[in-house]
Amino acid sequence: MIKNLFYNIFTELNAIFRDPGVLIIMVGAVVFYSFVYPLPYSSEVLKQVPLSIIDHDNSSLSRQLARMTDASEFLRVVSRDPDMEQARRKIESGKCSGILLIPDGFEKDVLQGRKTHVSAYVDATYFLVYRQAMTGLVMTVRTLSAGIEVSRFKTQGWSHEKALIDRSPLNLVSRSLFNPHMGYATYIVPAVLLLLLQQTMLIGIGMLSGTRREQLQEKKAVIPLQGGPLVRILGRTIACMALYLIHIYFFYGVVYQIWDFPLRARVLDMFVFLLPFLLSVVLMGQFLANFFKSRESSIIMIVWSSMVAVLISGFSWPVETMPHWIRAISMLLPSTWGISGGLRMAQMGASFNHVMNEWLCMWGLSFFYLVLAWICTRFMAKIPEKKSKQRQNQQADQHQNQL
Amino acid sequence: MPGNKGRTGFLAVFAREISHIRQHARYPLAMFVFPLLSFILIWGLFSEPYPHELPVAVVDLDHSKLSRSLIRAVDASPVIRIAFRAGDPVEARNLMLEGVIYAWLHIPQSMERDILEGKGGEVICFTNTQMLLPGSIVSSSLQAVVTTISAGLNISSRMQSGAMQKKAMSLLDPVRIDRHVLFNPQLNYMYFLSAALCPTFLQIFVLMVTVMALGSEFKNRTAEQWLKTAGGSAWWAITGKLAIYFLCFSLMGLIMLAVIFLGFDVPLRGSGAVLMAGTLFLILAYMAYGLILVYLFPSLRMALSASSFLSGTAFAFVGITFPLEGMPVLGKAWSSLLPLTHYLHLFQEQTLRQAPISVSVPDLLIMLGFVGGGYCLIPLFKSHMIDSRYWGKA
Repeated sequence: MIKNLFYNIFTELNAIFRDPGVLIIMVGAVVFYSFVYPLPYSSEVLKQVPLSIIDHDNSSLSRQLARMTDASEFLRVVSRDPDMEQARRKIESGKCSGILLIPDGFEKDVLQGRKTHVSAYVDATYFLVYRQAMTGLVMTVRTLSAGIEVSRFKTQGWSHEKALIDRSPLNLVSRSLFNPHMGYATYIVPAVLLLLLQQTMLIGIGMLSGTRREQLQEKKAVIPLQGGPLVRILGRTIACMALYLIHIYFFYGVVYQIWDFPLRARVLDMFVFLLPFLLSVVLMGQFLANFFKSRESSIIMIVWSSMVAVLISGFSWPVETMPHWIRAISMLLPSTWGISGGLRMAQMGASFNHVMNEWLCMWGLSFFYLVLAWICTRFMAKIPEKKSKQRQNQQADQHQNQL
Repeated sequence: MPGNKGRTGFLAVFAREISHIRQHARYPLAMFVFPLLSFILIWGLFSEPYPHELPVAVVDLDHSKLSRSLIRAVDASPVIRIAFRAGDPVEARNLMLEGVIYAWLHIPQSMERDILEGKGGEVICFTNTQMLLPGSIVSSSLQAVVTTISAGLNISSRMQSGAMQKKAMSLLDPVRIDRHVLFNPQLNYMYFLSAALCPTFLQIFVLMVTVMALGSEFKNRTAEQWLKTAGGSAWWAITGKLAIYFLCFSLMGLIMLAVIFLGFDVPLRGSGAVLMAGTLFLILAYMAYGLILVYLFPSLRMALSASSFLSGTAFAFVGITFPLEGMPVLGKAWSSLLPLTHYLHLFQEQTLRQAPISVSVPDLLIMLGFVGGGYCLIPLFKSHMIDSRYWGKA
C-alpha cells in the first residue's frame, strides 16, 4: 500500500512535469497571473481626477480656491471654461469628470461677512471617480471655509472652538483599520491570488485526467496507476499539493514583497491554514475531473466558475445580503473559506483561533470531496472505456452502411 | 456525414457544424446553460440592490442615557445591525478578526458629561477597510446617525447664549459647497455593476466556444476536410462554421438585454437599437478574436489558455471596478484592446448618460475594427488549414 502510494505520487509528478500543457497552467499561469492581475490596480488609489473650473468671479479669492483645488491630491484642474455648456461637453467627451463653479460676487460676499456657496458637479457613472472627486472638492472648500471662519472669529474676539462645539456637540471620528488608505490592489489582489490557486489546480487536474482518458481511448502507452481507488486519489493529491505548497511560499514570500502588500502573518502559519484549502481543492478537482471528457473541456467551465467564485465568496459583496441559495452554493467552494480566513490572517493579522471556523470547514469540505471522488473513481472509472467501445462499434456500423 | 456527401459550400459546412455540436455536450452547455445560469446568479446576487443589516459591535464605556439612545438609533438604521456588545476594544477587535463584524462603534467614558458641560464629545468608528464596500457603507451610515443625534441635542450652553450665540453661528461656514450628481442621481452602482457583469460573462462564452470550435478542427486533423466541405473557400468554411454560434449567441445577447432592462430595471435613456447593434458587434468582435487566437496558437489548449486569460481577466481591465484613469499605461493599452471595454463604454452612454447616438459611433467602429482584423486574417488562416504541420496538436 505504502509502496503503491509512493509509486503513484511519482507517476503523477512525472505526468505533471512532462506535460507542457499542464505545466503552463499549474506553474506558468500561476506566475504570470500573479504579476499581471495586480497591474490595473497598481496605483492603489485613484488620484488626480481631471476637473474643469468655471470662475465667474475672477477675484483673488476665487483664484486661491482654484489653486487649492489643483493642489489637492485627489484633483487636477485640466481646463477652465467660460460656461456650463462647454464644461458639460468636456464631461460628456470624457476629458474631465467634474466641474467646480464659482459664482459671481463670491469674494464680495465673503468680505462682507455673508454666507456664499460654490457648486460641484461630478460625474457619478463610476463609483470611485465620484467618491474621490467629491471628497477632494468638499475637503478643499472646507479648508478654505475654515480659514475664513477662524479669522472672522479672531476679529470678533470670540472662541471659535466653542462655536464649533455648540453647532455640533457630538462628532464621529472614523478610523480605518487594516487597509488605511483604502488601496484597491490591497483589497482585491490577495483574494484573487487564493482563487488563482484553486482555479489553476482544477484546470490542471482536469487536464491530467482528460489526458489519461484520451490516451486510454487512443490506446497509447500510459503508465498505469497502482492500487485501489483511495491510493490512486491520495497519490495525485500529494503530488499536486507538494507543487502548490511552493506556490504559497511564492505568493507570500515573493509576490507580496514585489507589490508591497502588507503581510501580517508568518508564512508558516499561512502554510498550516491553507493546507486543508489545497487538500479540499485537489479532492474537488478529482471529483469534477470525472465529468470532463477531453483535455480541454474543463477550461471553459472553470474560467466561468472563477468569475462566479469571486462574486459569491463574500469579499466583493457582503454575505449578509446574499440570498440563501447563493450562500449555500458558496459554502461548497473551498475558495469561500480560504479567502475569508486567508485574508484575515495575511492582511489583518488574525491569529489561528480567529480562523478556526474556516479551517475546520475546509477539513470538512476535504472529507466531503474525498468521499465523492472515491465514489466516482470506484464506479465511474470504467464508463469511458465502455463508451469508447460503443463508439468504435458505431463507427464500424456506419462504415458498413456507407459501403 | 453520409447524407451531405457531395454538397459543398456554406450550407454544407453549416450542417456539418450542427452535427458536430450534437456530438458534444459541451457546446450546448457553454452556449445556453452556463450563460443563463450566470444571468440567474447575477439576478439573485443583486436582488437586494443595497446591503442592509450589516453586523457591527458596540463598545459602550459611558453607560449613559445618551449612549443608550445613540445605540438604539444606530440599531434602527436599516443598513446596520448591532450584533454584539463588547466590553472593551480588545474584545471588539477579536470579533473583527473573527470576521463577524465590519466595524465597531467606540463610545468613550464620560461622553455624556463632556457634552453637557459644553466640552463636546466624540465617538469613534473603527472600520475594517480590508472589506472595502461594507466597510465604507457602515462608516457613512454611522456618520449620518451621529449627525442626526448631534443636531437634536439641546445642551445648556446653547440655550443660555442668546443673541450673541446667533451671531456666532452666522459666522460659521462662510463657504458652502452644493453637490450636484451627474448622470446617476440615485448613486446606484449595484444595478450598473450587475448590468456590466452580464456581457462580461457572455464574452467568456463567445470567445471560448469559438476557439473550441475552430481549434478542434486542427486538433482532430479535420481542417482539410472542413475546407473541402466548404468547396475550398476559407471564407465559406469559417462563416458556415461560425454562423450557428453567432445565431445562438445573438439570441443570448437579446436575452441578456431583456434581463438587464426588464429584470434589473436599468434605465434605457439612449437608443435601444444602438445597444442591440453594439451587442451584435461585441459577439462578432470576440469571434474575430477567437479566429486570431487559433491562428496564433495552433495547439488547442494553448489557444484556450490564451482565451481564458483574455476573457477571464477582462473585468479587471474594463475600468468598471477601478477606473481607467487610474491605470498605468500598460493597463490602459491592454484595456483598449478588449472589445468589452468599448462595449461597456457604449453601454453607459446609452443607458445612464443619455448621450446622443453620434457619441457612441466611435465605440461601434472600434468593435467593427476588431471584426475587420479577423476578416483580414482569413487568407493566412487558410494556409494553416491546408498545412498538416498545424494539425493534431493537443
